[in-house]
Amino acid sequence: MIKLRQITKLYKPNTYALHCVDLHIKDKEFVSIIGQSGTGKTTLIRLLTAEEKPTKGQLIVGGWDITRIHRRDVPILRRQIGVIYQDFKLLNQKTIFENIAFALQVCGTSRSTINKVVPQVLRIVGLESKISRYPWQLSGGEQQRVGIARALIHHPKILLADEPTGNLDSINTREIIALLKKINELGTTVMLVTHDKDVVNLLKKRVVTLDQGRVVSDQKVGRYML
Amino acid sequence: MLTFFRVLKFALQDFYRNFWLTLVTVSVLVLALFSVNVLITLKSVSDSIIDNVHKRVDINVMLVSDTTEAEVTNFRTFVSNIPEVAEAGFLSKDAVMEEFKQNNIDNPDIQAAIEELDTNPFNDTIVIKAVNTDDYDLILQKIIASEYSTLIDNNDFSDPQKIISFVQSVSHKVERFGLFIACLFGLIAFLIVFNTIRVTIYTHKEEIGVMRLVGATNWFIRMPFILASALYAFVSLLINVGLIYLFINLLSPYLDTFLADYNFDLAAYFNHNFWLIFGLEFILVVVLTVLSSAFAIRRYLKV
Ligand SMILES: Nc1ncnc2c1ncn2[C@@H]1O[C@H](COP(=O)(O)OP(=O)(O)OP(=O)(O)O)[C@@H](O)[C@H]1O
Ligand SMILES: [Mg+2]
Repeated sequence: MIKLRQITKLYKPNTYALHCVDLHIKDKEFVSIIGQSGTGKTTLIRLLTAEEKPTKGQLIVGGWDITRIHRRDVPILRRQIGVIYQDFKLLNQKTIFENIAFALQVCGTSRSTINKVVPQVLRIVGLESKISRYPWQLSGGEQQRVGIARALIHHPKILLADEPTGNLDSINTREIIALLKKINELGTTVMLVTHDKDVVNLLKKRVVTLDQGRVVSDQKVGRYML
Repeated sequence: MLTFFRVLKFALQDFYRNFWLTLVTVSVLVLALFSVNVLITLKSVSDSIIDNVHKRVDINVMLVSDTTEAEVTNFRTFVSNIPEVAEAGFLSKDAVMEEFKQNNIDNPDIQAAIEELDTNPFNDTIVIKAVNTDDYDLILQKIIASEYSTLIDNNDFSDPQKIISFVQSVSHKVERFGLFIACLFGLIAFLIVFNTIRVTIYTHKEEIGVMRLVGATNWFIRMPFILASALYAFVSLLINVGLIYLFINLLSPYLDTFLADYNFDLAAYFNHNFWLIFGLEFILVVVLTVLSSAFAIRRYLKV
């Protein structure tokens, strides 16, 4: 599903955020990416969403070579990849419904489809009862679930999560991880970037460790060992 | 179509959410447009004055009192044959007298003075109309250089030409000043629109970020800003049209007395050229605002 071949990302003048990274993530896999701060985890995500272009190497997503993706095609790519972030990136002046509907509106979805689909994804993340609240009226865990619902709205094949539990307490963290697992079981490839030792140990899934832009370990059933 | 309406909706939201910004932007655009229209008004007024002066100024060549009829005929033939002359008419001294009486019918002193006279103080007169008013000097020179110069009694022909060149020079100056002002306002409007779009982009940073994140197209992200700037143009043009007609209504009583002799009607002028004037202005102001917002987008909305 995701293939990185000798990917190097150089931030000028001399920061190698990623250095000759080879990585192959299969369809429906759940992979955790761990590593210390500044080792290129976020950079990896940004390459996959085409916010950055690799300096060297080849990048293939779902059979599509996006190494030199044209600007025009970037939106098409992003509709096939859901992303969630540590800071949720919700719009505070919009309700939960509107936040998710916004993602469909700006992609030209009709109003009737929006009215049908939004409650559906909210049900998946268990927030259908809070549909008309505002983000600041929700707990951190609930806000992240809204983020996940929005990421799922286009039925992506891949879900990228950049430290989604970084701002959450342990109970909310467990809920979010459980949700990600459920989504993975429903057939979505999940790539989770995290700092959280407990999360990794709890998951018992594949773990890739980055250090200074290089892959230093890749375990089938990983444990956090930094 | 659906996306277009959605873009329009987003653009409209910007429009009233940033009320003060909108107000300033539209005001400056209206000012710019208004100055252009004042320029057009001045130009049309001065054109019509010049036109009318042109039409009514003829060269009146007074003939010495002992001119014979044969001499008059020869002289008229000669004048008519000058290529720059459109027409050479003849007024007998009685006709001139009559015209003078008519022109001063309201003035009892002059009427009384005329009654006192035993003889007609006026002379027979040749009335020359030029094909082109710029040729008056040339025509006069040709006449004076001819054998008929001895028949001419008067020595001052230049008044109408003076009026024309005075009006022309004033209107040229006003035009140049007006053009300068209009350009200045245009430049200011350009910068204001640029800044408005820049601020709007800034206030929408989060939304734009989310739009990108979920895969909105560049077109969809940028279009509301372009459309908003076109809306600024449209609204300011509407206000401007209203303002111009208000201005005409307030001004026309004064203008009418001032221009009574020239049968010039400003409202009619604007009505007659409505689409030309305002259509052109609309195109101009849309180009200006869209260009300026395009610059702002290029600069501040990296995709
Ligand atoms: N836009 C940029 N310009 C220059 N350098 C950058 C840029 N973005 C990231 N870097 C550098 O690239 C390296 C990797 O950054 P990245 O954000 O990928 O780290 P990370 O693994 O996500 O760290 P953290 O765990 O703290 O989020 C860092 O040294 C960072 O300073
Ligand atoms: Mg990071």
